[in-house]
Amino acid sequence: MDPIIKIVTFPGTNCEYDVLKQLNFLGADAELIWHQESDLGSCSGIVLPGGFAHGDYLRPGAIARFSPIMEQVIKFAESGGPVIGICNGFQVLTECGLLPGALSKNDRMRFICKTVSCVVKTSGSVLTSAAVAGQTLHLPINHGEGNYVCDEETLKYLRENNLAVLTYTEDVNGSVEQIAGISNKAGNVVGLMPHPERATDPLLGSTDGQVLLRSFIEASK
Amino acid sequence: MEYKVQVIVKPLDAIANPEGKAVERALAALSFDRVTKVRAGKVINFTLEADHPEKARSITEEICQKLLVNPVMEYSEIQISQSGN
Repeated sequence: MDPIIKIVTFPGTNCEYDVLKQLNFLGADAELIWHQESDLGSCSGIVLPGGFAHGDYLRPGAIARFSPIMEQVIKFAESGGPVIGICNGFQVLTECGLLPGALSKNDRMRFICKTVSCVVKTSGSVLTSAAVAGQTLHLPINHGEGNYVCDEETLKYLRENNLAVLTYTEDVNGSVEQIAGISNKAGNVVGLMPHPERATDPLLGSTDGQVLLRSFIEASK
Repeated sequence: MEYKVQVIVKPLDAIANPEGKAVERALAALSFDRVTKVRAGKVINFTLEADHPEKARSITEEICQKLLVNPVMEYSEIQISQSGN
């Protein structure tokens, strides 16, 4: 069987079918994998989709990081395999240590659900390789805890290595330097708060998510 | 020996705390306008079987480090007492 993209589903995940449908729509083979699995099978790429894994109890992603599948996700990522975390998936990636920093509660005390403008800062990641640095994308966000925080040392590390792959064009949730998404140094692990899978059809108001998902699909071949 | 453990998880000073801010505004609206610097965290209580209090503390510190506290955003205070049971 050819390797295919695996979409990890935790109890409380709710964007897995959106991701599956859009990956299929863009020509990729993908399937869901339950968090209790301890074997990824034949896997070419991994998506940690949005939602509220384990009810977001304690902190978003804090309990999900200990799901059995995560050990394999970490191994896959550390061997260079493409992994993206969208929204709640981004929170899981920071909690499990694959990405630095954390996502804290939005400032201004509100859950935000709207389409925002983001700028691609680098094409050096599995999520942005088909995009151009400086390109503006209109992408929906839908989160209460997307305020990216990190210490000064981490921020310096992100800056020096150009790891803030996606930033908001304005301050939407209090994120340091308006960060919307970051990658690891190798560029194979990316977390972002916006939902590219919800911006793939003109009916949804934007097709700007396609370039990101296409990048990821290409990296997963 | 059974110990009662209380872990108080607090937001780091450098991290915005919108929950505390919302409570502060609500208190001001109730005329408690001399209340300032409200910060909201969480309290987690559990009982723990351990041979002695030092062991109970070291296990609790490990629990905090592995699960209860994210040091990027939070810090904790641990209180341990002998269970009455």
